[in-house]
Amino acid sequence: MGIFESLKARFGEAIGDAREFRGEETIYVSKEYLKNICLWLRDVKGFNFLVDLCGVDRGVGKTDRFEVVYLLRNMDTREQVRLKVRIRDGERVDTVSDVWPTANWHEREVYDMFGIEFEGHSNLERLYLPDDYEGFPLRKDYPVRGDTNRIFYEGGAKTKYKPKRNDTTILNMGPQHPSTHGVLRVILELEGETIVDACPIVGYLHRGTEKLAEQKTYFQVLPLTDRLDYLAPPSNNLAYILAVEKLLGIEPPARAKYIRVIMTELARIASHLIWLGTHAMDIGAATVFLYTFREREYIYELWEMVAGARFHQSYFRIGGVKEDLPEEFIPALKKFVDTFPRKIDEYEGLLTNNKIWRVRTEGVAVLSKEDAIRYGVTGPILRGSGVKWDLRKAYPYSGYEEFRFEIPVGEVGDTFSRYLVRLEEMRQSREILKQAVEKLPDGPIKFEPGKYSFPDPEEVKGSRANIEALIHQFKQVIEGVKPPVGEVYQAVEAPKGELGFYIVSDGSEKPYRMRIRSPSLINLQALPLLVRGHKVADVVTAIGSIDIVLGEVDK
Amino acid sequence: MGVRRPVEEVLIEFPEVKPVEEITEEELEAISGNVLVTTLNKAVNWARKWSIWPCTFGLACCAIEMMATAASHYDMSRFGAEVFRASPRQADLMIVAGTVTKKMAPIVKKVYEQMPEPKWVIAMGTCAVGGGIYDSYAVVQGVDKFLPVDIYIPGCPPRPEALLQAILMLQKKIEREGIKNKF
Repeated sequence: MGIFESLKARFGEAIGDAREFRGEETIYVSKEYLKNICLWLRDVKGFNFLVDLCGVDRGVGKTDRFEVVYLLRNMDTREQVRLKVRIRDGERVDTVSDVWPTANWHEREVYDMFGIEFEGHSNLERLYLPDDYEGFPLRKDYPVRGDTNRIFYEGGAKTKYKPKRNDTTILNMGPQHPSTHGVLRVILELEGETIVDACPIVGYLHRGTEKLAEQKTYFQVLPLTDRLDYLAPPSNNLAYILAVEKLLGIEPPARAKYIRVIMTELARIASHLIWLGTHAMDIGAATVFLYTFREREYIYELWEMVAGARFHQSYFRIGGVKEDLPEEFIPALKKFVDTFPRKIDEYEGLLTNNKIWRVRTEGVAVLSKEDAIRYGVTGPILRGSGVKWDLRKAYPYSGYEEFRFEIPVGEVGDTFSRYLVRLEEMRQSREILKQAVEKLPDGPIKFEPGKYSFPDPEEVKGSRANIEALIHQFKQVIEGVKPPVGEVYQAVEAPKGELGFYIVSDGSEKPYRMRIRSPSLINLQALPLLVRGHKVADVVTAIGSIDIVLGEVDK
Repeated sequence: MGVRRPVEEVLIEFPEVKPVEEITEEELEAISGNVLVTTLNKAVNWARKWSIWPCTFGLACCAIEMMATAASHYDMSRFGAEVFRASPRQADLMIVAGTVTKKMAPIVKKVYEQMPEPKWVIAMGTCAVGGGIYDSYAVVQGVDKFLPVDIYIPGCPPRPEALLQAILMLQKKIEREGIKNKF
């Protein structure tokens, strides 16, 4: 019996109809029974993981204007189900933050963007925008540019925090701080040097990516995704492109898949390198930073060979990649693959058995297995806490099922475990790169160029110019691809965790709604849990060990 | 009012300067009438331009390229500008590296105001120059809406070489400045 049938048998009238699109099940449920349904699904059916929660504005004038979308996952059976609640403008929905604590920030975000209020939420305030902001940007009737006359919102600079106790000191950290990895702000409540509570405040880099995506064609959205997790742009490109491909129902050729794997695994290494360098520098070991940037420069050079850009490549295309690899790339990559293990040993030589490093990381910022799942944490942090979960193995994409690699798992769940997990991940990524270089197949690099992406320039204006390619070029420029009506969620294992794109298509050339499930944001939510009871100096250790990147946290 | 400490007598001994033997009698005569002349302006600006201390203030993607510029490969210290200060009170230069959002704008301004004179601003990257691709409700369309910018660097993000060029251009700009206005 499927989820829909068992829900129907248990809750009857409260369950609306179900839809299936590209193998994803969506079930409409009534708002009155939402919480009971969620509790039942969690406790009886084992949907222990809330992947994502977001809102959708169906358009001004619709009777049930808003939808709140819940994506649930059973981590044992790997089943996924999407629940939807439809509400009128002004209606309230029950909170599920007591069912899955990870929903807390998600619901704040929905309130921030759509103005949907959640009944029983502990702290329903704006998540991204300053408190004195007016309007809800992701509503369809809100202009993209907002209030163009106003550039200062003092709400960003003011402290808004209710202390837990009255004998404590409040310490503000950030948003201008060398160890917050960007514009993160944390308010710390201290008793002496011990942390009573911590309250991360985000949104200082909120750029409105989701709203901007609604104004652009599917292809034009791609550069916006680069700038989310700017330490590993190919991973973001991959997640977005895979989502669009799923929406269109197309599959890229094998060579394109391999090239994508090479690029994203390089991204994983590059991201972990910068994590290692800055994390060690925060704790006081400044040398590692210079070492890791040396290798990162090499990866930049590799990327530049392929895509022409060091940083934001936007190299993937719908149905493939932009161009084939240049000749000099594979030898350069081979050199990297051969030399990289020695470099990791070098980092380890500086840190792993360093007494100061051990004292600063062992037993610091411990996250238990259960809490990690309850808080929706993913990526190396989840694995550091001992959960063997990797989307590359759980839901293989882009040909990852053809590679042999291990999922490193930590034991204790402290900063040191996460450190070891990430170092091992770099080694595993190098293994994948090695296999990819060996097995790289020949063949085309795009699926039906012209129909889904730009045609070959040679066919448009070069020696093989023809009218058909010219028409395709024209069509691509003015509208791009038009996927069928539907909705998909596609996630990849980005360096920081599960990066997912939920795209709703209304059949036009622009995404109707694009939701980004960013791992850093959700991982950051566990920060208070990590630092409570520790000393104030351990906050930078915890932040560094979560490995946040603000472009992705704030979107 | 602080208490003034009594100053002890300090004797500074200068080593005796011996005449260089290679210089011939005629040459000595030729240069004996010369005096090294410069203006206070030039001397101060010369000192300033070789020790620009930037403020550690990364906002977004460009900050990573700023870090790459400071790291070993590009080595910004070749131009005397590697001492990144975490406190704006010790910095001369603010590199606005990344997107300035409306929530962040008052804080950027505050950081700028905390910096002592003389101070300069580099707008690094398209976002800081003019909003870039983020023409949205949350983003300030260029940091020059509320800060005086000295050098603009286009690019998304600009390469480290571009940032180095901006530092060199700023040095040239500092050379031409009057110290009357910036003290």
